[in-house]
Amino acid sequence: MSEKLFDALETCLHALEQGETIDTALARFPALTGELRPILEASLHARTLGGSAVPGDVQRRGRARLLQNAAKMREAKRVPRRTWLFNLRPLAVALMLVIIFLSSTGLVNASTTSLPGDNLYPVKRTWEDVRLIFASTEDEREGLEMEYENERLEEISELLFEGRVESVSFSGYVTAQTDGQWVVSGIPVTISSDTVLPGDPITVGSVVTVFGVTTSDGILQAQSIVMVPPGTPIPTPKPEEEDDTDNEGDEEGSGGNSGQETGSDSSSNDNANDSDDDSDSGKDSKLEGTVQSMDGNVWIINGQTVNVSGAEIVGTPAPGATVTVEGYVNADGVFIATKVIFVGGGGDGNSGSGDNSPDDNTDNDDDENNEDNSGSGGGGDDDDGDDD
Amino acid sequence: MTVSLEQRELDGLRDLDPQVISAAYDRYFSDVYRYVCYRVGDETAAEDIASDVFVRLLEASQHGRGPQTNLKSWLLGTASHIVTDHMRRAYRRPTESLTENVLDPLAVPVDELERRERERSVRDAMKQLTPEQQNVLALRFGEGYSLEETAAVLNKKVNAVKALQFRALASLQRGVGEVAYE
Repeated sequence: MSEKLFDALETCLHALEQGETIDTALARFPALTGELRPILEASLHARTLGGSAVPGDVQRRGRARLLQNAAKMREAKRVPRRTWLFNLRPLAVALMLVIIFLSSTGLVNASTTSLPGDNLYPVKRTWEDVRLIFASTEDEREGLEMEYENERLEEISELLFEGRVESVSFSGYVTAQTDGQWVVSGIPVTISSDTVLPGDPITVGSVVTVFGVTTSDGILQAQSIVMVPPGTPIPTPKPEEEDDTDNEGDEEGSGGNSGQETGSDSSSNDNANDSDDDSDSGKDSKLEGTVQSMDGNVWIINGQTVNVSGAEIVGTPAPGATVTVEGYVNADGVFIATKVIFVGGGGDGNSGSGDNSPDDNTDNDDDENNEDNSGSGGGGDDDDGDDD
Repeated sequence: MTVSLEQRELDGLRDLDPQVISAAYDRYFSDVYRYVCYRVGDETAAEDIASDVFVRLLEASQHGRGPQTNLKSWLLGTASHIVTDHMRRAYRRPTESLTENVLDPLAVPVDELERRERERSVRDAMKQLTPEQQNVLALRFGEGYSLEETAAVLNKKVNAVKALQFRALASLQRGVGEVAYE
């Protein structure tokens, strides 16, 4: 009996869905009308609660949140996935110590120049983990993380330079955006219609993690980009790198990066040659290059976002001009200028800045800067040289 | 064919592949959101809970507790658990809806007021049902699933779903009557 009742209910529900009234639906089952009527009335009540469409912004926010969580998990997963040694930390550490003792030019040293896809690359990443484990203070840990993020940037530059095809990921600041072509911490990134982007808009100055593939054409094709959670240590595109070069003392640096359009690395290396500047990273830095764009107080110089709202400006501001900027990098990666000196009119639109950097920037030597820059800028004048 | 596609999807989720994650999200988010919205009747809470379901999917996939075959069933099942927890918390700490307090009865048409009142009485009656009964009504009348689809999501036989649905509607009708008399 009850099965018959349930089947009759199902038939009536279907009829109601087709637009029939309760009475016409029940006419099929006169013997069950008394039992079915209240149930069908309840079904109409139940239907009134449904039908919420998903608002577009809800869907976008949810997706962004999900991808951000995925990025965090991927980052957390990266460590144990890299090698089984990580799960056996004591053994891994002991092994590494033995390696170091046995040979200072052993496996670890050999791996320092390895790139993603190389056989020794897992050793390099494991060694980085070991160093992180032994970081005794939070500052030291953050410093190492920053150093490793810089290392990722250099690796990608090298891959692009060599035209190798590898899956990579890195984090950095968006320093330029044109149609389909972004620059993230000096790395040119191609955005296609297949690139998965977060719901929130990404603008110049945003901190992002890029997942993608380097191609044989020397570009990084982005597969997905997510916003980086606040508080994650991210290297600023420029002046701070001078500390890294000091710390590592490695032989890399300018070689693989000289071809980058922003020229950020090359100029930072030039800055590293500054005489005895022992100030902290992000303080009292100097930036030289070409003004790529000017939007009010926010300019882009060699791919670096520069805020000039509080700066003393010497010379005539113009896009394409060669400038020397003094200032510091704030926590958001924006270069806060305290003084901007225009060296020449430039205007050729080229931002191949690597060659423009002066090779001696001793303190109080603006005149020398002027000479250097006017030599490479083509058509540079001496207006500003007199101001100081 | 479908199985292998689903398997690839599950593998991609385990590997945290952003494209697979986005694709799964786009395919199932509206189902999950509608289901949650039906159960809790609050769009803000529904947004949070529906998002949480997908984050839990990633976490579970990482720990080997994710879906083995049917992703949609897993998502809706997880949504059901989170909704039940949410309702329990809401029951312990009841809050007044701000919008209802702010609404000026004179500024709202009578029809609209009556509709809202009716919807509230149905929702109050719905809260009296067991979670399983609420589930079956949400899937059948919120999502518009067939008996077979509902049975697959609830991991029950079709006949069991028919009986559950009948009891749920009977309880709802009684509840609506009681609420109307209060």
